[in-house]
Amino acid sequence: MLPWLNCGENVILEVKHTKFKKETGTLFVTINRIVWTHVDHPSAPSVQYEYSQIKAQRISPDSAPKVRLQLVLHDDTTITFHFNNPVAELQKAERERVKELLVQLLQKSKTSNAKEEPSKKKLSKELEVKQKILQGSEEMFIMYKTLVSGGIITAEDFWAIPKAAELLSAEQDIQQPSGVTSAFMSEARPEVDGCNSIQYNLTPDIIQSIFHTYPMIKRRHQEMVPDKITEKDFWTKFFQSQYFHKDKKNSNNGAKNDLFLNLAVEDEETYLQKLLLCDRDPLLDISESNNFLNSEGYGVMQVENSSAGSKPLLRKYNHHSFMICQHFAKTDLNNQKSADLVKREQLKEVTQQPDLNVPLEQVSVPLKLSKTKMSGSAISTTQVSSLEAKHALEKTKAEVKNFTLCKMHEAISPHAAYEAMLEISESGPANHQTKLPKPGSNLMEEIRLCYLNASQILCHFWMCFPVTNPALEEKVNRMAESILKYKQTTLQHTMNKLPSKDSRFLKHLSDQLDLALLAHEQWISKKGKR
Amino acid sequence: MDEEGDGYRWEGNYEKTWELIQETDGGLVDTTTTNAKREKRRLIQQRLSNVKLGVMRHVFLVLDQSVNMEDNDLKPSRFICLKRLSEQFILEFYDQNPISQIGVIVVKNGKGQKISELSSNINKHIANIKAQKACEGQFSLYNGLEIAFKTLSSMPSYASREIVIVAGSLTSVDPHPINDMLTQLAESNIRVSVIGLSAAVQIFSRVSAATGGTYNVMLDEQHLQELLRLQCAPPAATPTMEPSLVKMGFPPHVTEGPLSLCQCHVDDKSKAELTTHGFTCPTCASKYCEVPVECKICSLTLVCAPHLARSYHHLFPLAQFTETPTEELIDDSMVCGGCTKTFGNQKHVYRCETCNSYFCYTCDIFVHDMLHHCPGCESRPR
Repeated sequence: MLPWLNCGENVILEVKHTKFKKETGTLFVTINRIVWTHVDHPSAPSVQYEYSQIKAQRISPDSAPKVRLQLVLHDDTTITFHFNNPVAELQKAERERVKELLVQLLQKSKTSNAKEEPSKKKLSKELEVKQKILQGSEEMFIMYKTLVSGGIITAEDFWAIPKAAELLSAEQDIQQPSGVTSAFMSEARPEVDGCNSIQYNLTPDIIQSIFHTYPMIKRRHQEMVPDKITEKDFWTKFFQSQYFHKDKKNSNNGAKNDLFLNLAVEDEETYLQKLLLCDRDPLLDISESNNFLNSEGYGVMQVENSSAGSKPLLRKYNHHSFMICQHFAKTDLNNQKSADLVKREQLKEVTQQPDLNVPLEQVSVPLKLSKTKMSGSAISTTQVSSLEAKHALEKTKAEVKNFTLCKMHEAISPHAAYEAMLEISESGPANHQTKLPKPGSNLMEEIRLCYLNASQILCHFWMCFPVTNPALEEKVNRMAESILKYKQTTLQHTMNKLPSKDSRFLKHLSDQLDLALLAHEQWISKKGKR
Repeated sequence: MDEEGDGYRWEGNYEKTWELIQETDGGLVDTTTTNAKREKRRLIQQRLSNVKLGVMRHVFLVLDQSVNMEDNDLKPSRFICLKRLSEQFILEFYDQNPISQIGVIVVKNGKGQKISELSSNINKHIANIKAQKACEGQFSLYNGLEIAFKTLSSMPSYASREIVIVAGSLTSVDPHPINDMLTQLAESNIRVSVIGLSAAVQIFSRVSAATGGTYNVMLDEQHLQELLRLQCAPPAATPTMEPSLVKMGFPPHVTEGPLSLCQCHVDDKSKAELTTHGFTCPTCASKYCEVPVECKICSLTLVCAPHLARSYHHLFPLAQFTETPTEELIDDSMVCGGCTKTFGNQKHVYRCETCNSYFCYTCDIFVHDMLHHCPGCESRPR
């Protein structure tokens, strides 16, 4: 057991006769890190790196005299190991073994890292987003400054107010994943660009679709880019191989197609596997029904299946749908219906025509009203005796006879009538308004900002009612304090700035704050009584 | 080119509405033939009476903005026509359901996008819809429903939750199996109704059947308008909707109140003004220019009494009048109970069962659509 090994850590590979900085030692490859110990100090590792620190590895060309392996870290420092086995042939073999192991282990660590990082990324991203919002909107910035820097409410509360929360969620909107259209490959259609060069349109969406449909390609992409070949080269090679894929021509560009040839083989394997797994739905199986033709007489003639040409295409489409369904399906174990139920439902769907069925009675809740008189007519329903009716009619007739238009006496003066009309009509208040002096635009702006800030705090405050749990209680108290503070500090400050006659502009606002404080006191006294 | 008769090709893009008008013998415009179809459709619509209705509604309007909407079978293009009809729909919806809220979502490029939050602010909705221009990408049923679902699932249960989808596409490109979304919608009592523009699609009919909504496919622009109008009527309440007391404020309109800034314009530099008139919230004393509105500060719904009274005509609909041929009238000098004109050469008259008064075609539509009370019944003491 090596002393520097952590518990649970095993040495996968050990290579003696390796040199680091001209010193001889032993190279160890474990599950978490790569370690090199000096030959004279085997207990203390001189050099060790975790795979998460290593960005890439490089090997010296075959023609070089020394067999070397180089590790490149994220900050671009390089560590070179020299394989110096006395038996010359073994040097290369050892290096190859280390290289292969490192490839796998680096790959593994990359994928596991990708899962850990999001949580750290999220926090910093949130801060970034908040910064962006504050920088973007001057109003929010001013609000933030007055409320949070002034110590009136905490930063947390600030981001919880509806307006800020809305902006925050709008920025952080998680992009919805979009489905894969069946025609995505055609969107990357090549365009012949002048002489002999073909251009492919490749957008990030199409790349995502390709990754969803062919997970092997995704894996290859992760392995190769950006270490071995550039993104552009990767896609060029991909298209070249896809293009020839259709014709199944074994092209002579062996090296290029190496990347993707074995993918074709794997695709075949998965397809065949899937065929074995899926039971054929007899209702959807059309392969056998069309082969029979009614020939002369009463026999049936089996027709040659001449659609051999379309089989690869059908196969491709089926494979495409299979991959997408596999990728996107959320497996919810609770909802897995038994095969029986599924079959029964399918049969039902096929055998029953919903249009021919008797329409189901709509389940509706009957209306139970106690007072139906409210919807009645405007005319009173009291009974009137015929004598009374006659009498009323005679009286009305007499009044109408005696009616004369009094031109001398006015009912009310025209001026009073006009005033009354203005009062009732909508445009009335506007006329009244012109009598009172209005604040100038600068002042109006300040007043508006005061209203804006105060409304945020008030919103928070009223959100706490009805107070149901201790957290809300504590929040209510906190908000009441903030309101008081705001009133005493900021509002007072603004009011002092104004000349005394203009202080009435902010009276409504301070009334609003008073009302909130009153409600808070009432709540406290109610709580005390219980 | 003169091959298509005597019109130019560009004329095909325009609908010749003047050709639909027909004249009667006396030279007047004959309204019966143009409206005959409308009336038939209206009679088909069954009005439920004595049934609990979900009067407080939260409706999400999901509009398809995929490439299929650039088709010009609705002039000038489906999407522009739909924008216009959506505006009319929103105005009528708020007219019939003053205490409800609408939100608008568009689906383009396979992803949904909420362009207008759930609120009762008509002008904002209309402005946001008008701002949408290009149609691109594919329609995604799952993504459109998902956005609506996220908001609707957190709404209180006494209000009905609805989604109205107008889909012109025949396909849907979804990132997840649609059945998962269906179960979620059914569990949250969200009612999805779909109006198709092209042809009947099985998945849409399945979604609407599973959630208790309706599925219709339009024939022409007028039919589309009708279908949208049908969505304005409040649906029957499902048994799962629990009745509960809803707190509402009834602020009076004051003209000489304290000088204050209204909350509806506090965000707008140009419109902010200190005024004395408006509606003051009874809880937090913040001012608003118009009701119905939900107070931004204390989330109290502010309405005025006529808004609630408007729901009565949904709960107690006026019974349909019976259609009788004009020949069966007792004497020729009978006049319509609504407009007091003679019936002339109209083929049918409409009789109210309770008061036995007759109405002409136009008055019948007017009484059922606008008045909701029969003039004959109202003017007779019971």
